Amino acid sequence: MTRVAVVVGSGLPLPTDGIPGLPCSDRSALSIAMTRFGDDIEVYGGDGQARCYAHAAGAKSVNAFSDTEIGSFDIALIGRGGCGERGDLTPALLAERHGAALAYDVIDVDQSTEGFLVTRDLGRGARDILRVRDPIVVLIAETAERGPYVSRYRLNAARAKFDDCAIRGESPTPRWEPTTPRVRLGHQASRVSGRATDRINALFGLSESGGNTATIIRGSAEVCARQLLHYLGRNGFIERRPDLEFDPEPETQQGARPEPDRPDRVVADSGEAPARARRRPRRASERAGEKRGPLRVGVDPGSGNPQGEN
Amino acid sequence: MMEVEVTREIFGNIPTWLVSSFYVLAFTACGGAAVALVRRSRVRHLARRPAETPAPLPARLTSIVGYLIFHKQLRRDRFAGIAHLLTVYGFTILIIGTSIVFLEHQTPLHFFFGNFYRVASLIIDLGGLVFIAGLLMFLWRRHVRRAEQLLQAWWMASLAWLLLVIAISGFLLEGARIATTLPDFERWSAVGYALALALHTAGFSAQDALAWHRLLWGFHALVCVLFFALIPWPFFAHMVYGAASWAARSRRPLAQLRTPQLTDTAPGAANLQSLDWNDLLHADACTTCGRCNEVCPAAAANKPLRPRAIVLGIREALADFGGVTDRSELPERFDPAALWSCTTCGACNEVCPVGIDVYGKIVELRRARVEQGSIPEQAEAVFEATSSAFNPFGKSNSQRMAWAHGLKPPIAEPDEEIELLYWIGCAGSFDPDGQSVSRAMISILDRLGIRYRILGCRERCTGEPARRMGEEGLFQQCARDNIATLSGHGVKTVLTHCPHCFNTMKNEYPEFGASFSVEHHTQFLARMMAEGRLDGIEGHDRLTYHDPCYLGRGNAETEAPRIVIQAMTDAHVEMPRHGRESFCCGAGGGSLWLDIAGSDRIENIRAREAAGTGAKTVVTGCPFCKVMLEAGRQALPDPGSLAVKDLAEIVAERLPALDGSSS
Repeated sequence: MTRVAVVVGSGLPLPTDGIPGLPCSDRSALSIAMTRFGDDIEVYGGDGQARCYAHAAGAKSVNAFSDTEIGSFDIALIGRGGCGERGDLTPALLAERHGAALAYDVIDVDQSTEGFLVTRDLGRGARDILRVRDPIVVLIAETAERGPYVSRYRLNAARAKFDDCAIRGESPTPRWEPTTPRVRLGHQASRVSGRATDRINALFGLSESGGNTATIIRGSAEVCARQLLHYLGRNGFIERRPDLEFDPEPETQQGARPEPDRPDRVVADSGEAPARARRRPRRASERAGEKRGPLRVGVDPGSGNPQGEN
Repeated sequence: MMEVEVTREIFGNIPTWLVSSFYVLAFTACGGAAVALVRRSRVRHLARRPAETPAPLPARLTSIVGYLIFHKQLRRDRFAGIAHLLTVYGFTILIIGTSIVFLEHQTPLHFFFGNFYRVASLIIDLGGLVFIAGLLMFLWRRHVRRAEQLLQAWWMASLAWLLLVIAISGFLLEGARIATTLPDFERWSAVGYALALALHTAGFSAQDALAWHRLLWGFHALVCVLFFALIPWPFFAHMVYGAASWAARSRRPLAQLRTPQLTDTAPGAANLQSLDWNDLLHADACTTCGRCNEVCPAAAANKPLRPRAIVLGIREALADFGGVTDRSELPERFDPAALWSCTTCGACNEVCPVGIDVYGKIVELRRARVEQGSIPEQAEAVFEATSSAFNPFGKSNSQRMAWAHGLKPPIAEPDEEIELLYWIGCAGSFDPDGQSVSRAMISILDRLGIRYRILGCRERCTGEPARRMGEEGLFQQCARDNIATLSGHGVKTVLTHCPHCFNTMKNEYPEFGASFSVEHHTQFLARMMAEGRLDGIEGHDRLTYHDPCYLGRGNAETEAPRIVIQAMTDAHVEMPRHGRESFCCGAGGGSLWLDIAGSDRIENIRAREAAGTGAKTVVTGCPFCKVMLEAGRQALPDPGSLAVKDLAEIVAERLPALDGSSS
């Protein structure tokens, strides 16, 4: 009997200020596994929402997934969300640990007499079919065929079994649009060899072997915003202003603290500036659900009409 | 000279064995029919879902009597309605006549003589004539006019033919009876006497008449018995179930959907047990008249949906269910494309002569499909967008105020008490056609000095598209979230320009605890007009008004927009289909996103109809309708000949500006 593991997770928030859902590839991973191998599969969910989804979709065995620890398997299907913060490193680590073959951008998997038939998406309509012996780890592509829709009723029913589910649709705070790190490809990636961790770190410029000498900035949202303005000003994207100059010294490296006495108006001062430029994160003194959205600059207290909303 | 008694001998010339045989056969047929009806009724009780609370019994009885006497609902199709009215009136008179004869013969009562006999004979004969006239109209419609909407099955005409044979054989029988003695007082039996005279003229002797009378009596009795036996048969059964279905029809506004309790049972019509008693009664009550098909916009555009097929499909499932062991899935019986073609405009419900909730069943079947997970990709995208981005368009909710660029609508502060909330809606926020309506409304509200607030980026989808597409769980989540937001502001009245939001908040949110009143912007504008605050907006070109389904038909609001339009122009023309009989634009029920192909497009049909009036502008009161009509306008041979506007837009255009100059 084929031992099948599926790793799913809700992953990064959507590129909107809404509530994240399970990425398409995670749904597809679950759907492919259940369609090809039945519902007797081991599902590992990186978070409560993913576990709820898997349970609602009909998986019988749903486990928590942490630190890439899963039981032995003949085939492991991983969704983008299931990769978690490590990204592409996760399937690589799993493959390394279990001595398994590794395939990315997989859109379909089927069983054959000698192992598995793995269909990969090569882009522009091209695809190849690999015949692979088990064990194998496959990362399901976003372009894989979507599985059946799982209704809100079934998700709610599954939630009754998992207390740690984030209740979707009840998030009081719109999220900020996430920034996606640009992956450095090409010569930097090809220079590195060895462990998957090193390769991925090098890809993101996080390891010495990657040859990246840039300073890693750690700090609050305000610190990051200042750094961004500093960068934009220095590179001529916006006009440099003395009051926006940024002193990187106290804010670099871990332990840097935001300066409490700095005013909120660190961004452009024009009332005509677009709303997005005046956004700011919620301060600790504000209650949840209060004063959300754009920064209210120049509000007429009597009008109740903050310009920022226009 | 002794006066001849003015009456007739009942069962005269009929041998006792024939009479006895008739009674045995008649009671057997009636008993068999009753057993079949009861068994059918027991199958209906297998429906597990609790039915809606019906109207009180007196109200239901009054409803049936009014329905049968006035035939108002049936006369919506004038020809068929009149034919049915004549048939029912004639049939009733003949049944009363037969009952009189039965009472005279089988009880000690003796009243069927003298003047009563004369008048009763005349009325019964006239009733027979009316009956035949109605039946002939039906048969002419089916066989000569070949009305397209009728179900073309050989047995569909059998009821009319059988009743016609009964009526004609009854008259011939009467003629033969009168021909034996030809008494003068039988002139009151006008038709029978005329036939008797004809027989006499043709040379029939009294003996011949007696023989024919006996033969015709036997034949007439036999076809009557056959009629009784066939009453439980599908089409014949509408005589029983039709009126019952009408009496038990829902009291909800037409556009309001039933709210399933999301407890242990998944929503949707996954099988017959997950329907309610009334749904199964509807399946039996369907007369297959095809009016639903005739008015269905999806059918008009030649999409796969035929609403009658949905009801008849459930009837078929019910027939298969006779063995009780058959628990086959209901949604698999229907073409998914048919289910997703429905625009939930409610036209089928509106015209159904027996009060069947057709589109409610389609939504139930969609709900079952959603629970199965087999839904179109576009529907899934809408659900995902509503769930994650709080609007079905999938736009970032932080962009919700993009429409107000350059305006300064007052956004509610947290915890601020709101008397009047202007609800923009997702179409008004994200769709360019809807955004112009929002801007026009803000302009009107500001110029009229109305104190109001909007929610800004805290506004979320009402969940209406998701609900119509079958995602009940998501809708209920949206409803609770929105009600919590509105309750937090203590909102007293919600003003909206979207009939879909209007219907949802007015009719469906109260089931989740909402207590605010809701006003559509056409109602608001009509109110302002009545208060004299919209003076000086007259002088518009020739206009026609497109009634949004969720406002006109769904919530019976057809007057308010016309009050405003008639104040703006003397050249207001109506489209052939308007008011509650309006034709859908094609956007409802999620069809704005689900584009099931047909040979035509619903919006094009409607745009052609609007252009056909010669109006320069088609006005509507719904952002979805505006989007669709605009698309339909583009497909016209001369798109420039017609403009599409919302009522708020044309009012805002003509409303004097705040400084007094014309805008």
